[in-house]
Amino acid sequence: MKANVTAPDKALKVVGRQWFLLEHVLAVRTGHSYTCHDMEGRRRRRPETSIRLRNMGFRDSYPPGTFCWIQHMTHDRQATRDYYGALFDWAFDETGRAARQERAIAGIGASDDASTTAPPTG
Amino acid sequence: MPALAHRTMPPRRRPPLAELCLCRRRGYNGAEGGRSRRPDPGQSRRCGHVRKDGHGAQLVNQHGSLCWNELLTHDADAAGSFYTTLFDWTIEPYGDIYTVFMNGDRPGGGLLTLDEADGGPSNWLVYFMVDDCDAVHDRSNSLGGRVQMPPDDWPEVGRGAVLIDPQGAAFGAMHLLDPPD
Repeated sequence: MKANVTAPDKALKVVGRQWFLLEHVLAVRTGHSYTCHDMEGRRRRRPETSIRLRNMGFRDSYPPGTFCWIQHMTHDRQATRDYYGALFDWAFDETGRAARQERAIAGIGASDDASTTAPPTG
Repeated sequence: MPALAHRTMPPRRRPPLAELCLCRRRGYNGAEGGRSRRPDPGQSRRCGHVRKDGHGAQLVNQHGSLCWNELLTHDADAAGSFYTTLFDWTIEPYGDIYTVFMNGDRPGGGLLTLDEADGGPSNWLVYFMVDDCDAVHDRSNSLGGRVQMPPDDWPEVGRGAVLIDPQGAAFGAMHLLDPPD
């Protein structure tokens, strides 16, 4: 019974494997290729959905007119860090930039302190 | 293109090595994982992916990051004309009382008219995306925050609340049902 359930999956895997090799040998380049290169440069099947989901919300640049940064001007920087760090699980670097998943989210600056944080500039 | 064009044409400007991605990925074109592309032949074994160490917020629309901005104003008409002129935004009504600033074809922010009773100056309100609005509301209370608007269901949008942090800054916490990419 179990073999009957898994048999179609195995057949699809064989077909996928053949197409994977064909793409590799003939260098088939379609708009949405079945394969891609991973971080190490190796040819891989393209995990389309997972990559898109994993990168949801990532921003490398902003078109003009888009909200691109939040700066919290506060009189008590440490208390503000404690509050938002506990509330949103933000991590702070030495300049006071808040980040999650090692990606900058916002800055916390002191309105009575000249060394306010600034958004990263490329 | 002539056959020798690749020899006579100046090389494409390449980013400094420090900006280049250190990975050995060839043909990986970043977040989308879509169209595969090879690097310039003979130019570099690197992928050409420029590692941008920021340009504003690097994470949005995820838990704890920016997801919406809302202008609370006493004069919606004046504010609307000001910002549409300033940023080339356009205005699109959303329901009866709400207006959305459109930046091209993407919604860029909201515009809400304050009641006379609300008082206070016009201001922009930042909304953070949260996975669970009620949990954040409770946690904020336990951390000494106050509540301006308790969690409420907003039809077709999600569930949101407006909170005030211990220093007195107001912000929104909103769970979007269908966050954009």
